[in-house]
Amino acid sequence: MQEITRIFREFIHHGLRHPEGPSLMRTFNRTFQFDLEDGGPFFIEIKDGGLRVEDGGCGLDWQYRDWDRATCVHTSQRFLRNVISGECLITKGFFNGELGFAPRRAADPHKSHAAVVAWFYALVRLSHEEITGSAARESLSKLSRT
Amino acid sequence: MPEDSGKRFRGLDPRIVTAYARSELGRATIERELVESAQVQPGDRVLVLHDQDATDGMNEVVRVATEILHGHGAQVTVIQSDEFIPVMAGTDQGAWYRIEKHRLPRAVYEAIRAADVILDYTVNSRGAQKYNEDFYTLTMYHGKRVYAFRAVEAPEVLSNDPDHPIASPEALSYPSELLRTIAIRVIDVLLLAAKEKKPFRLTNPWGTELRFTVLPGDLAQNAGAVRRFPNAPFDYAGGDNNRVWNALIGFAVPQTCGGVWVTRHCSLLGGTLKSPLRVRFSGGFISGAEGGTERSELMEKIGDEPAGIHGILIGMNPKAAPFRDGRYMLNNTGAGAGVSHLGMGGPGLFFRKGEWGRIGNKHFQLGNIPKVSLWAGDEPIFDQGRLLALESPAVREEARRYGNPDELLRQFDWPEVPL
Repeated sequence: MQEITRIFREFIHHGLRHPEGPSLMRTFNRTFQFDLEDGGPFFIEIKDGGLRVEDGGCGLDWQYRDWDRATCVHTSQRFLRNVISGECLITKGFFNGELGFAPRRAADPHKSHAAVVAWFYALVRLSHEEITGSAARESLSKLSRT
Repeated sequence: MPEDSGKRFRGLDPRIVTAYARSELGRATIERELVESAQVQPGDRVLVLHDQDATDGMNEVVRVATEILHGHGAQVTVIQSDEFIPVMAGTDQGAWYRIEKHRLPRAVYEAIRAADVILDYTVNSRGAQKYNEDFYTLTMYHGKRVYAFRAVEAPEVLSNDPDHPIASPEALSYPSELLRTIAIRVIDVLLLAAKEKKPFRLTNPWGTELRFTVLPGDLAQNAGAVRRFPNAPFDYAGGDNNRVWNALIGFAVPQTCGGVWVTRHCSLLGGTLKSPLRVRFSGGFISGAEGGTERSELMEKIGDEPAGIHGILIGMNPKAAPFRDGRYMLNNTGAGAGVSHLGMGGPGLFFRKGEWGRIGNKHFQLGNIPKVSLWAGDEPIFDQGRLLALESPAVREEARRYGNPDELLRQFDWPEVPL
């Protein structure tokens, strides 16, 4: 598994440990196919609250046949690392042209694509909150033992 | 701080807006926006935003909305500021000209984060969640439910008479569920064509002639962007959805698009134009323009970056006639069936014809043009501004649930609309 896939998998799994993580993960079923400018592709499949992150193509045709099941995420390893490290807010990258989604309007006949993107961002936010929260708890625990 | 050209929405007379908010139907419509669209619950922390120097009558809308919110048990905080999203000098409401990075005051930003629901009644609020980074982050990342400019979003439904401020009461009270049904039926036809990679064609009597293709997932909007009740998760995202009576269908960034768009209004150029403007498109981007002195102003303003199509949208409400005193309102906002607008530019990366790229950060509209015809492949959807789905037996059957189908499905008549 390429390094960025492994890092992103570890990062997004933190979200599942957040108190709101499991219910948020069950909100939708969707596959995100990552198309990286500076690396090989990988994908995240979220189904019934479960999460799978793997290298390569997901096998879905997000442009036509499977438009209502998959979203393509165009970005770079560099940007994903900046998001994971907290150096860059993911929405800032969207405005700076470092992140794109396709398609953009409808995720399926009953759901806007904006809803799916907001859900994806929420998963990223919870992962960050869980990482920073658990680090703070650990630090305070150490302090209280000294 | 960028220069601001004023806080009046599409030339609306503030006396009319005030009378609208005080009228029985106006108040009822504002309440529906709060209850059915924003879905405010008792105990919700509601933040109301409006302009410090509003000259558009919106103060009365805010007063009425606040009164209704208190009646529903919400905790209401109102913030007035002169530093929301500015309407830049030389442009009109709806144009997002170099304000994608405009920063909200820190206090406002934090107040939004602390609220459950945000009702944004500022003049340029519509679209903030898509075209301004702060608002985008607040809604899309922090999950804040922002509802923008819902009180008086279409001047075409108002009149010139403060004693009778609503010109089209039947447009405002049109059954939302019926609009959803009609939109879903139309989108089904568009979707089939998009899946089969068929071309779309849009024309109007002024000389507009566009041919384009789209991905199935770039059809807009789900159920005409009409609210579902109750909301589904993340239904607030995007800022175009959860409408009560103003339904739209159409297309997001096309994969291919060429042709001509002829208009008499452009938000980037300050609104109503002195003379018709013919804008040429190639590959989905503006490739040139002819007509009038404003042609050079347009080309100059978009000269620093490519200007690509962000959306092609068509109104669906069969009662929202875009006329006043028998004349087509160039400043209408496209609520009526058969009125189409072209939105240009928008932040982010877009997938087009196998490549990722930008379409320009400046978002603006090339007017709302009348009486369009639209074909999905060979299938006509609009004919000379007439929404053909209104004649469908299935839609007629559905309409019976809400009243007399003859009345509900009778669209306003389109007269000749000279350029």
